[in-house]
Amino acid sequence: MKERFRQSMAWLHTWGGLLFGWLLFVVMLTGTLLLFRPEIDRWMRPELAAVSPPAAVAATAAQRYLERHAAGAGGWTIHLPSERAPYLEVQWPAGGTVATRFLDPATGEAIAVRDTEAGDFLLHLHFELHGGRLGMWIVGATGIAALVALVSGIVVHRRIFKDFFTLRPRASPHRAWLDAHNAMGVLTLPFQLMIAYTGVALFFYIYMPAGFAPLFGGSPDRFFEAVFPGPSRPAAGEAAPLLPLAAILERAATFIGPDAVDTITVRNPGDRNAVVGLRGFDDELRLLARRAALDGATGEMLSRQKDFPPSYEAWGVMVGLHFARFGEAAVRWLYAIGGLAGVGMVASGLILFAIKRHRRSDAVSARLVDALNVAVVAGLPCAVAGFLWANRLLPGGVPDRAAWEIGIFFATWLAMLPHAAFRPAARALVEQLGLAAMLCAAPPLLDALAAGDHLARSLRQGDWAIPGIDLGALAVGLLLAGAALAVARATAAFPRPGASASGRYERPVAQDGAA
Amino acid sequence: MVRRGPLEIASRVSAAVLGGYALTFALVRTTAATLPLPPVDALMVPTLLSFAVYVAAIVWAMGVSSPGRAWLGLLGPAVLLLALSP
Repeated sequence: MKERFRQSMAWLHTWGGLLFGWLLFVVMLTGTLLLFRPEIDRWMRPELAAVSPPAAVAATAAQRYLERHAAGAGGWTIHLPSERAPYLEVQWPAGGTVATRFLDPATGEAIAVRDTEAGDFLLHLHFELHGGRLGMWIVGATGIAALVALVSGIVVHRRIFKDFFTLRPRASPHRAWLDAHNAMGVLTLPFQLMIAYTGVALFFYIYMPAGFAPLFGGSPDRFFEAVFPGPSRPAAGEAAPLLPLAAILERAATFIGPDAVDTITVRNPGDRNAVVGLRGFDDELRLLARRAALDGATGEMLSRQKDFPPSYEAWGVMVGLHFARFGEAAVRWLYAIGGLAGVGMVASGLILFAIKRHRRSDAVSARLVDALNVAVVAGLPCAVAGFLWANRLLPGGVPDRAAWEIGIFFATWLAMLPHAAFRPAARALVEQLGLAAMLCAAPPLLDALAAGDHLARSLRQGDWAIPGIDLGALAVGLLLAGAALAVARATAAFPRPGASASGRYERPVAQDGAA
Repeated sequence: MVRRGPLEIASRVSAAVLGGYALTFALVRTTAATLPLPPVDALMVPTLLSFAVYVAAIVWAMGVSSPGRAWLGLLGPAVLLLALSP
């Protein structure tokens, strides 16, 4: 009975892991990169020098600009400079899209910044595969699959504690990959469970909307109105000047310190019923903002909130755990280690599948699995590096420049597929890892050699965002080169007897042991 | 390895994925409607726990001896819960 259950779990782990492994790899790799999203954003917009004006100065500059250029818009959003995002960004809805400008708080003028989606693109890839609501459901299913794979993996892995530190890199490739897979999975198991669970729970209102019908008339909006009972005032249709935002910040200072304000929103600016919203995050585990709403014309405090229903606070803690904003850089690096281990766990699992299932098979399905394994595991890093290249090499004046960057990302990725399909799998893996290594190392070199003065300027100012990403990309390049060498050596050490053209990660069939 | 036919696999996987979701959905709905808590908490408590329930349902359905049992074990309680739901 017990043994039969274990076998069922092995089947579930193997096939569920294969089916969702490729998606999981994409989600985990982009998630790991997103730990450094503000820095990536800054690297991809090198024109923005770091500034840290007082909140009142930045708000005043933003208001002056928006009153001149977006007076008729239904709403404004102002992102004040912060430690990790030290620039002033304003947004307003304009003809179906959102207009974004970066402002110099000293002059109040817009800064010419290359058109890029930067980290936003990686974010949308992470939670919806760049594919809207359908993509979100696929990523949600991937999160559940990750949890199922972890649970079934624990059941399958009988000697979970005994094997804790077993690593036999000189054993057969199968053993080596299995040990690596287990070590990475077991050592970071709590992190993997946490990150998958909180990731799914983040979008509870989409993935599990069962409770809205009996309690909120089926409407998530009414639920959120109950959580945030702020004012909802429609425009009066009567003009009234908006108070200076600096004065509004001052008015709310006892509830939310001006320099703790992260975002200012203005609904119906210039209307008698304008509402100014202030939002700021406290330095704590939960990622729930304290918020205040003030009358834009009179400055009267309409509502303020820092406490939420206890269960909603619990959700806020889950969000905080997922986003890793609760600590300093050390927390992000710990998360990065967990994320990389997860990426490695998935990659080694995919390769294990190829080794175990298709050892002697040249079937189409085997070739397909091999090709997808390589094109995802090594192809995605190539594509991300291509995205960074595009950011540095595409001229500023290209129309739809941001879309071109994304196009180059997907084109690079697609180009990996035929290569992975027509080369022997192990060779393809080594070659694409090598290519990814070179591609990752190049943008920093471009920065150092060719690009404008932004690297020198950053270093002069002791601002590490741009050189930090440069060094990070170099380090990732070295890591990938190491991985390429390791795979090359492992597969060379075990030449396949009577090797065929398939060239998978072979080992002599005689060494076949129970997995 | 337990050998299984493709039909059996399809039935079992659908039971796990769809039946498991149906059971979780019914459980959340009924619990949310009956918990003696303010509405926001009554909704959030079962909803935040639901993903663990779903994972457990999938694992259970994949491990149980036959797909018929998986369907019965998931949809039976789901229907019962919805019938009891106020």
